Amino acid sequence: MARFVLNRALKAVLTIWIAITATFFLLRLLPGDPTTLMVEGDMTPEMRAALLKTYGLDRPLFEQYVAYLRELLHGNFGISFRQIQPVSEILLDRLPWTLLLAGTAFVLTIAIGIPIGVFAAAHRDRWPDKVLQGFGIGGHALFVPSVAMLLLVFVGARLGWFPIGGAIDPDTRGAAAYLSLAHHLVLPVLSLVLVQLGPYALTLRTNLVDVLGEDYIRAARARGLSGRRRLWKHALRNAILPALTLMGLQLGTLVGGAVLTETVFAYPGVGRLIYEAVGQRDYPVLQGAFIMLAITVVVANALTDLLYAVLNPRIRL
Amino acid sequence: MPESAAAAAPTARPAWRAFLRQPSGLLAATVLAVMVLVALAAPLIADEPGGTGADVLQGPTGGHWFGTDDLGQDIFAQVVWGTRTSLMIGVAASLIAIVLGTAIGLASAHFRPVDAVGTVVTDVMLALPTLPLMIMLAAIVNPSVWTLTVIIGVFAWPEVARLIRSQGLVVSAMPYIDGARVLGASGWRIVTREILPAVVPLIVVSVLLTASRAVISEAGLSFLGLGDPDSWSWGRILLNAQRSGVVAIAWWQTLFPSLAILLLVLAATVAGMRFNDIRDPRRNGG
Amino acid sequence: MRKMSKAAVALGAAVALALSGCGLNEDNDSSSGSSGGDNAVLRIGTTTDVSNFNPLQSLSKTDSWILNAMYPHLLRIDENAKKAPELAKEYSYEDAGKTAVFKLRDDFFWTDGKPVVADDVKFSAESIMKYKLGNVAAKLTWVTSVEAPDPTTVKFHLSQAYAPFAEGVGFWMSVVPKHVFESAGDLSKFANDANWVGAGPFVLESATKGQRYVMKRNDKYPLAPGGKAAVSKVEYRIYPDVNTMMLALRNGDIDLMGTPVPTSAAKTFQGDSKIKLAKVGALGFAHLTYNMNNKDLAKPEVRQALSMAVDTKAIIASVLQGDAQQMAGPISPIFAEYDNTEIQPYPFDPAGAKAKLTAAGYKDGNGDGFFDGLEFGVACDQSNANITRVVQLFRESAEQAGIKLKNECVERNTFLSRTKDGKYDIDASQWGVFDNPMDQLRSTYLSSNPGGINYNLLKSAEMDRLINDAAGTTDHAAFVEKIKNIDQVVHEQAYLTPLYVENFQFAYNAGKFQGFVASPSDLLGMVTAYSLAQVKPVG
Repeated sequence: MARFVLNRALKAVLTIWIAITATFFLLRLLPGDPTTLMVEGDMTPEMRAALLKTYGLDRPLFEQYVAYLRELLHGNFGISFRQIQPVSEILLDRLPWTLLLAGTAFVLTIAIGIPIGVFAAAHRDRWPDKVLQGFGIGGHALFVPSVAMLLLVFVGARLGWFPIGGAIDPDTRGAAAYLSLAHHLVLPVLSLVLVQLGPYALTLRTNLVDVLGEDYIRAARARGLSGRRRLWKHALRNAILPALTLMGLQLGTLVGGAVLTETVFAYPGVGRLIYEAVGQRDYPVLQGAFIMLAITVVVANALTDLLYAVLNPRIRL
Repeated sequence: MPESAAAAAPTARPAWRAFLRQPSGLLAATVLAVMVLVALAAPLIADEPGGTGADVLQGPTGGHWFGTDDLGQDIFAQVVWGTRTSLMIGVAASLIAIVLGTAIGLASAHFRPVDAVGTVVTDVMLALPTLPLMIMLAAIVNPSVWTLTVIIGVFAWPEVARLIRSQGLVVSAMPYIDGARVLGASGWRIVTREILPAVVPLIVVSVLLTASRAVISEAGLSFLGLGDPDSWSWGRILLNAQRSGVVAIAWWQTLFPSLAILLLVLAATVAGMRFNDIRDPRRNGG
Repeated sequence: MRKMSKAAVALGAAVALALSGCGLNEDNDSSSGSSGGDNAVLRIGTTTDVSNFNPLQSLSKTDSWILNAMYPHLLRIDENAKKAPELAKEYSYEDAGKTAVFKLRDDFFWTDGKPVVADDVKFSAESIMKYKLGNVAAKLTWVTSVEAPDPTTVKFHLSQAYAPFAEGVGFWMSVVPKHVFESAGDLSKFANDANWVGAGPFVLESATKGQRYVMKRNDKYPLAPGGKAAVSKVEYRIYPDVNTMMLALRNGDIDLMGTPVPTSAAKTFQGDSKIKLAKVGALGFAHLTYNMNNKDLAKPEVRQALSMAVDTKAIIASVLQGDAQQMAGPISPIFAEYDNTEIQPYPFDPAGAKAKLTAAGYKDGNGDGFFDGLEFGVACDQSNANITRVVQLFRESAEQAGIKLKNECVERNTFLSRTKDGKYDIDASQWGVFDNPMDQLRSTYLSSNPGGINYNLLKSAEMDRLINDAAGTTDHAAFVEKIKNIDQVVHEQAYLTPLYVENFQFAYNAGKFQGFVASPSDLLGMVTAYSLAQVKPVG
């Protein structure tokens, strides 16, 4: 077990390193550097060279890379090109919002998805299954920006039930502030959950149906186990593996959704930061955001694998 | 036992019939067929959207079924022409993703050395937030239908690989695979003859899910302004609405392309599920 | 396992209840922000974060909205696009135009109580020159030294006379407090992101990244009626999506949109009695510029034919809903004095364009309706709603003239980078702000390309001579004549096809605030320091 954990941890570190390296070089392949955005004003080639020097962009690529890795080991994500501020500070401003938004959506998806998936599988081909399938597939087919825009226009503006954008009303204090926080969170979370829930419940249900047909379930039935017991004890235990995998996967997708949702709802998270940083070619911010998200997903995946191993006795530890 | 079950699996033709016998399967197949037809016959259905019209931002009427945009162009024509781009990118990108994903997933599930590399590569790909990465790549290359297809396909395979691998691992751990190994079957044979058939239902579901995800990715990139500016796509219609600031007043410009996406993805998913149910031999016997 | 999923169901239900609950409980927060009287808070929508708080360095439009309210400029641009006094009472030239002298007001104060003096101006200009900061550095090219003989006089000594020097520097340069910035060391690395000291009508009090920027009133601001602004606080809130910002304005979450309302979206506010739209002109214009390094575009006939293949009138009627003015020569009609009114725009005439190309030797050998080998890409920034539509329509109308165009509208930074590297055939874009025609001609046509925006990549000895000659002319009438002459040359050569000057519309809640003084362009608009100092709450 200890060896498995160690292996898994090593793999996670390796993954993160590759992610760092890949993004570092990918970002520098992009056409344009931070000085191009300043074209709106007048700028001479000398000024441009001076700016590039300030940012260290005139040094050889490999040298920049080594310097970056060294700084990273000290927890230094560099200084933002555009905001002349440490990237770690910028990220710390933004990351909590995305964690709140994506985390809430994530927990809700799983909390609602598992019962729906199990219930549908248990009542396979009967009406609850059909209704829930319809709901699940329908959710899967939704396009995040469409959902977000329609929720914003109709539920937010027309009905006036929820605030138009933002994360919190800054003038509220104490309990009212928490309430305001939750109030602002509803529509962005809803647009993510509506889109995520479908595939999640659906995969769980598909796997359960598969597993229910497996030999050992039939064997279990032959041994006289009750339907319910069979479902929960044997089938869910096996079907939960892909569902776990999906949980890890969902973090990456959630971030993508967050880029789109945060823009529509003017939510101050890291997704919007990434979108803006791409436009500004702010390498250190982009890099920092990527690395933080990569670490989150890799760690989540590593935990998934551990759970996977614990739950599936057929995999040797 | 699974050997014989696989041998007893219905051949393609009856499976197809069984598929179409189900109302939902038939409906999904019909929707998909209509979409393909619309894509192929777009020029016969509506003129290529262009120019300007007198009726600006008009709601749906007899003359303009889906209303008009801020230039007075017909949204129906845009949705019809958009079907071409969206379908083409969806299908082509999903093929890229499935081929790559299945190969890597299966190899990882069965061959330990491959697994080490394959899993790391898959994990790296999965660890990177896909949409921002696609945004960056799409910004590097000249935006065209083909570059978008490749970008979307290349970023979609890891999910397929991961799903195929986890299912493959479960199958690999089954006693009959051990049996085959004891009987001296080669690794290649076990993968292609034993594991691959066992994960086929998952592949079929994956094809359809990946294609629909690709359609959504294309819409997302186009919506962010990274699509092909010379061809109509559903995402581009949404982008036009968003960019012109008419989302709150011209609901038709947001709703109809969104419905087109919804319908296509819905049909693909339902078809996938029905197909999965039909192809699973144990289901009928269970 | 069974227990776990029961718990999950319970949790899901609880969260759903909690969420729906707060929808019911709380309906009273968002519309309360601003109240009348002396404590009025003006809330303005912006699209993105402040990327750089250092006014000497920042080049972003949205940054300047906030920074210009804090740091005074010598001159401002008024509602008629004319320079008006701000920190400077007046300016004059001495020494045959080789010395520019600004006389400053003596009643501007930094928020820490110190007066704004000539040394602050001198320090700002010298720092910009030393560290080559922002776009102002290029405008200070000819400065040999800066002198502050007394607290209200600043003299710029120039290596050569340059007619619009004082206008350009006076309008563009921010004045920063020397006693604060001096101790910051290298100003090219100074973030200036806390403890702000300003001398405009407002100064930043707090910044919450991704959410809002709160500015408090400067109690001594001489340009405000009554010596200080009527509004006690200005709060900028961020809405990256213009649709969301418009909804927030209607909902009462903000009182003014800093960004102009897209032409097509103006209808959103129809029937809303509180929301008013203020219309202002532009200080730039939309244009098609031809890359002279392309062998076909290097021929004047081809450029003229292209100018005849774009239906500007139709573009104005549809894309801008008629709310724009067609241009003829390269000088915006807003600078009426310099606008050569004898120039007639090229007519939209696809047949004439075809004839011109045939005469120039182009043929349609394969009979596909297009001239052989005549194909151009039109580059544009896809985030500009109007220009992308222009390119779409240009492509269709050029088809009638037998010219094949490819739409190359791409992500903004990619577009800028391509323009910078000359990787385009035709550039469709919109100049933002030209504060005077001379600076415009210098930036866009000099072969030395001092502003990096000579998108023609033009290297013409003739144009260089004409421009440099005009730049050194101090006699006003002769100067105007020379500019008009350059207009004529640019038009005949069709270096660019000027399209239109659009009107911008700014939406605000007239039920809550009044008295905005809008200046032309979307850079200035309703949110200049001067405008914010005049705003009064209603009632």
